[in-house]
Amino acid sequence: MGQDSLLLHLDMDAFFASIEQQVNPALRGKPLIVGGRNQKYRSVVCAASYEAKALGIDSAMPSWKALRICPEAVFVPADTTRYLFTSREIFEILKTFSPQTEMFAIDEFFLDLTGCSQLLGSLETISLEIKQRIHQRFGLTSSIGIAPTKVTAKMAAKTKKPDGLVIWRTAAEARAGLRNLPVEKICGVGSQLKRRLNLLGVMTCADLAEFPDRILQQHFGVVGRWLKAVCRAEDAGDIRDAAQPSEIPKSVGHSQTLPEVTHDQDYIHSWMYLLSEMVGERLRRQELQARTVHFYYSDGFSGGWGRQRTFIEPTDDGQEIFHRCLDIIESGGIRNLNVRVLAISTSQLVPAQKQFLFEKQIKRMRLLEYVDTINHRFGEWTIFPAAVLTNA
Amino acid sequence: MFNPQSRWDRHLPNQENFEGERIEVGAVFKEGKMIPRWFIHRGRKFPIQQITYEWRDKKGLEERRHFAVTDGTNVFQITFSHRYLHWRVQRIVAQ
Repeated sequence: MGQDSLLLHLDMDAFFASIEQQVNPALRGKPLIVGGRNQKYRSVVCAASYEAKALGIDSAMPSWKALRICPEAVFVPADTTRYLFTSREIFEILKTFSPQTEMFAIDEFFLDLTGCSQLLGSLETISLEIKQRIHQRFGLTSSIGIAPTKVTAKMAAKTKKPDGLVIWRTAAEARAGLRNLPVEKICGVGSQLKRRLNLLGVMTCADLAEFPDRILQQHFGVVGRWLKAVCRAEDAGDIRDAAQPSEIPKSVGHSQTLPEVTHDQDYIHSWMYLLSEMVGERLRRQELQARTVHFYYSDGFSGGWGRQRTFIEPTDDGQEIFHRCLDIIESGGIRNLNVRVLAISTSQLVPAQKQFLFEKQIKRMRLLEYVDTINHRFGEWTIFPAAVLTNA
Repeated sequence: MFNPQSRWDRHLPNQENFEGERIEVGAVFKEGKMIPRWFIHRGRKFPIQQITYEWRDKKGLEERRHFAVTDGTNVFQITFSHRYLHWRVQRIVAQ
């Protein structure tokens, strides 16, 4: 990507919470928490309105903590169909502005605006038009950042929220804009990384941009180089590419927090099977197979229990992953599970091998292909293994 | 019954069998849009003062159009099935 590139990052403001405030006008202007259904004391904050954020409530905070901060906050269960539909419609709006459009997350999008100004008007005009069309259609506000690279565009959008517009036309402008930002504002820098950077005296993006390469490399490897490139507004690419040039992810997994602690083994097995199927589907979508299966469960009170096992034969079949989890449980000597949280993940991923000797394996592979095709065409879980069903 | 499709909806509050009841709806079609104006539920007519949100989804072959509507007091979610050509009140969003 050359210096002339210009990327637009659109970040919807408190997306889920804002949609819920549109659905129910009585909630507008009130602290609102979107979370698990009917379990407001035993889930996490999925999204918070700006009124709730102003009080210190934010995503991923335990609901009980959020409600302790603001007992009068309104708790609304998440409705993903609304959010997915809105996200897809916004994506359609954006595609009318640039053919190079990417849905980065359900509420975040990138547009390559390189060379679009002559066709569509100034960057300000394009941005305001996008914001206006989304607002007219859904009543939602969004924040836009424009910069020469994806990461700087994303950070530009974050510097002025809600309903903001920040344009850094050149790398020099981007560097100046990033200068005083604390390092934790860089995408991908969590509390651990922030602490380690702070220990080295790196507090702001300006500190990081001037920090010696050798020490960064020594402490953080490729991630260090990536962070420095971001702060210098150089094209750093995706951090996932920097950390894993092979593009094969390290692991694929899913977890689920159940509404309450249960020792109903059928019900637990249903969830295990479902999570295994979800992992299998994701592996197949990425044309990967996994050798290692990791199973974890917790009752939500005492410490959890987790084990992993590596098998000779890699798999991308949910049923097989489920049976490998049962093996792990059995080999751990566990008789009855008491579960609130379940997690199943796979690692040691390898490119999928689809050459089978036996007819039974070929039939199974074909079956999975048909199931995936049907679910892709008609929606998630249109068809699923009957073994997932219980009367629990 | 455990149903994987309800993964995200598994804790819907019980609304005393209110969910999914068939309703009669008066709607106008204007400029390519379907605009519900009133609905009758359990013999009571609710005028729709405002459509607060609108979205679509698909359940198998069934395409559904959802509306969050308010009669000035309550907010309802009503749904039109393109496949079966009927309306249902899905739930009361708030009252």
